[in-house]
Formats: sequence, structure tokens, C-alpha cells
Amino acid sequence: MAQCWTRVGQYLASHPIPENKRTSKEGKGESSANSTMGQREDDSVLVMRTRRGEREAFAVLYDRYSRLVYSVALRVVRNASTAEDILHDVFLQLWQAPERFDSSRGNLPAWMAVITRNRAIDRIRQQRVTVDPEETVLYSSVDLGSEVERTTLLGRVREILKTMPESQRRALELAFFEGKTHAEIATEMKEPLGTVKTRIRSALIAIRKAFEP
Amino acid sequence: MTNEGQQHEVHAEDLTLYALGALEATELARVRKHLESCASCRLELQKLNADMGALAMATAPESMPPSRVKDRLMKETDREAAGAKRAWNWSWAFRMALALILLVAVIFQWRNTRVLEARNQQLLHELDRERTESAQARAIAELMKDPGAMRITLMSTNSHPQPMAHVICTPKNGRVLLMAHDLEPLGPGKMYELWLLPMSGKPVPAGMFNSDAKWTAEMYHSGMPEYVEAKGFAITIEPAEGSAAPTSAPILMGNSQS
Repeated sequence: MAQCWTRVGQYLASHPIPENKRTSKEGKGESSANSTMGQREDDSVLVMRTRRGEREAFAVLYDRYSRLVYSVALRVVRNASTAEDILHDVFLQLWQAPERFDSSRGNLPAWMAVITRNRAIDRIRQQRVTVDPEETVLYSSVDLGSEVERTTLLGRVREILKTMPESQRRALELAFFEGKTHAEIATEMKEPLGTVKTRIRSALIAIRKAFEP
Repeated sequence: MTNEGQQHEVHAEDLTLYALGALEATELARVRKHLESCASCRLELQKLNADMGALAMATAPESMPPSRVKDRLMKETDREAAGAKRAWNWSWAFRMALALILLVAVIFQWRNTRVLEARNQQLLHELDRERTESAQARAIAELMKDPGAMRITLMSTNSHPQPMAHVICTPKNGRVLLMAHDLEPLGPGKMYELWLLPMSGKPVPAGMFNSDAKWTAEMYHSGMPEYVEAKGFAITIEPAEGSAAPTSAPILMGNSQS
């Protein structure tokens, strides 16, 4: 499992993501993701229009976040076909029940990343994730809908991960991307349950520092 | 740190596992129950979700999904939008039908109410008429049974067959009942008029009448002045509108003593 994080580390090292890279790529992919006036329409507005059944707004959201959802799904399931299914399911859910996302309580890309991860874990564990998407509410001091703020935040997260102790990263990797329970992680890492809990908690709290100004 | 704080310290680790879906079932139920009553833990869970979102976004190598996923999705949304439109149309048709049914029901109810009101009015009129007739019948019966009533038989003053009339009157309330037979019916514009002949003074009108095809006549009159003592009654032929004083010679006449 440590190899997984090693691969992530290698990837991050070999692909230093400049601040403007994501912006330029997304800009290319979002030819239809912005309004005709050339201004980026707010996610909450697009969700509201999707609630009204406007397919154009839904298409803009898809163009904006399909790559994120597909990437997270692929990262977890490691199978392109299954990741496509998850991408389809997540966006179909957004189309059929957009009210599940309350724009006043969170940021759409982070919310989609979390429910995609939960759905992907559901697939690999062959059982339902017990946290319902409707329960998935985010509190963030950073506007993740803003490309600039999001890019800055994600750069900080990557830096934190690079400096994180290996034991913490490994515990977090097993829990987050492989969907293992703390008992399974403790067995695999041959660590006491309490230690595993603390390591996972510490790793996730460390990531929170990226949100600080 | 307070006890409460320590309790949350314990939950902080469990909350992390809860957010990750890494708790066993029994622990998961315990955390979920705690969340129902703890606002600070709910806020912490929201922050953990944001941490997870950032982690997922930061560590997933970017991959471009194939365009067929979007094509499939947009076809499905198109189909659902069309289905929703059809459902809306059906819903609209149902509402129209319901409105029509309600309208018919209202009109039917309004019509029923009108019929019932008309029937009610008719019954009230019938009741009034029956009350009047009943009162008149009672008055006639009282008049006929009154021992103080004068009974006068009026005889024809000339030809045969002899017309005859019987008059019953009560001076105290000015009521008079006349029953006549063998009295020839009068043509249009003419009526018989009964006159009370007071002890002194001019004759007093006591009612207009005509005889029927059987040459009989009945008349009840209650409009005479009260307490006028009659020495007799007389019948004359008068214009149909009546006269204030006799304009022809009496055809029947009778004294109260007779």
C-alpha cells in the first residue's frame, strides 16, 4: 500500500502542477461551461437552474466537473469502465435530485468529490457506504467554486501530503482510497486500533491546515 | 479540558472514521445517534467532509472522461425532460377535468337549491292559504253556533219559484253569513248586494255575491260596522263594483224578528 502513496508522491514530483495549469486546462475544456457573455456562471446558479430542469445549465456543470469526478472515481476503482459508470451515476443524481446539494452549506466540487469517493468505495467494497449523499454537508472557509482559491488550496494540500509522516499517509490512504475499516487497517498495519484512529484523524486534520489563510 | 470536551475528543476520532465510512456498524450507530444531539460534532463533520473533498481533489491524477458518458447522460436528461413534460401535460389535463367536474357539481347544487327554494315558497303559500281558510271556517262555525246570532230568512217579494236567503249575523263583531237558493245568477256587470237595515239611518252594505249555476249562493262578510243593531236585511241587484246605497228595489227582504 505504501507503494500507492509512493506513486502519488512520484506523480506529484514529476508533475508539479503550476498555479495556472489547471486554469488553462479547464478553460479549454469549458468552452461551453461559461455563459455566452464569457463570464463564469456561479455553481449555485447553475444548480438552481438545474433544479428547474435546464439541461444547458446541467451541461455546463458537467463540462466543469466531469473530469474531477471521473478522476476521483478512477483513483479509487482503478478501472475506466467502472469509473465511467460512477461518473454517469453521480451526474445523473445531480440531475435528478439537485436539491441534495445545498449551495449555502458547501462547495460543489468538494461535495462532488466526496460523494464520488463514497460511491466508488461502495463499488469496491460491494456494500453501501453508510453515509448518505444527503448527509454529506461541507463547511469550508475557502470558496472551492473559485478556480483561483481552489488551485491555491490544492497546491497546499499536496505540499502537506508530501511532508506528512509515512505511517499517517498510509493509514489515510487505506481508509480514504481503499475503503478499509479501522479494524482492517489495524490488522494490515499491525498497529493497535487506537493508534490507527489517531493517525487517520491526525492526517485529515493536517490537511485542514491548507484551508487556513 | 472538561468532561464534555473529553467526550468530544473521543468522538473526534470516531467522527473522522464516520466521515470516511470506516466505522464498524455498532460504532457507526453510536456516532450517528450522538450527531443528532451535538451541533459542534455536526460542524466538525462538515469540516471533515471539506478535508476529504480537498484530499480527493488534490490527489486524483487528472483524467479526461470519454465523451460517450456525456452523450449518454444528455440523452437520458432529454428523455426525462420529455417525460416530465408529458407528466405535466397529464397533470394539466387532470386538473382541467377536476375543475370541470367541480363546475358541474356547483351548477347542479345551485340548481337544486333553487328548486328547493321554489318548493319551499310554494309550501309556505299553501300553508298561508290553509291557515286563512281554516280561520274562516272557524269563524263561520262560531257564527253559526253563536246563540246571540240573529237568524233571518229573506223571501222573494214576487214570483215563483221563490228565492230564499238565510242570514246569520253577529252585530258585536260585524260578521254576517248568507245562504240563498233559487236565486237566479246575474249576468256580467251585475251583483247581488246584501244590506243591513239598521234601527235608524241608511242601509249599510253587508257584502256582494252572485249565485252559481245551481242558483245557490253563499257569502261570508266580516267588514260590517260592529255593534250596529239590525232590524232586518235586504238584497238588491247592484253594479258589480258595488254601491254605497241601494240603487234598486229589494228582491229579498227580512226582519230580524222573522
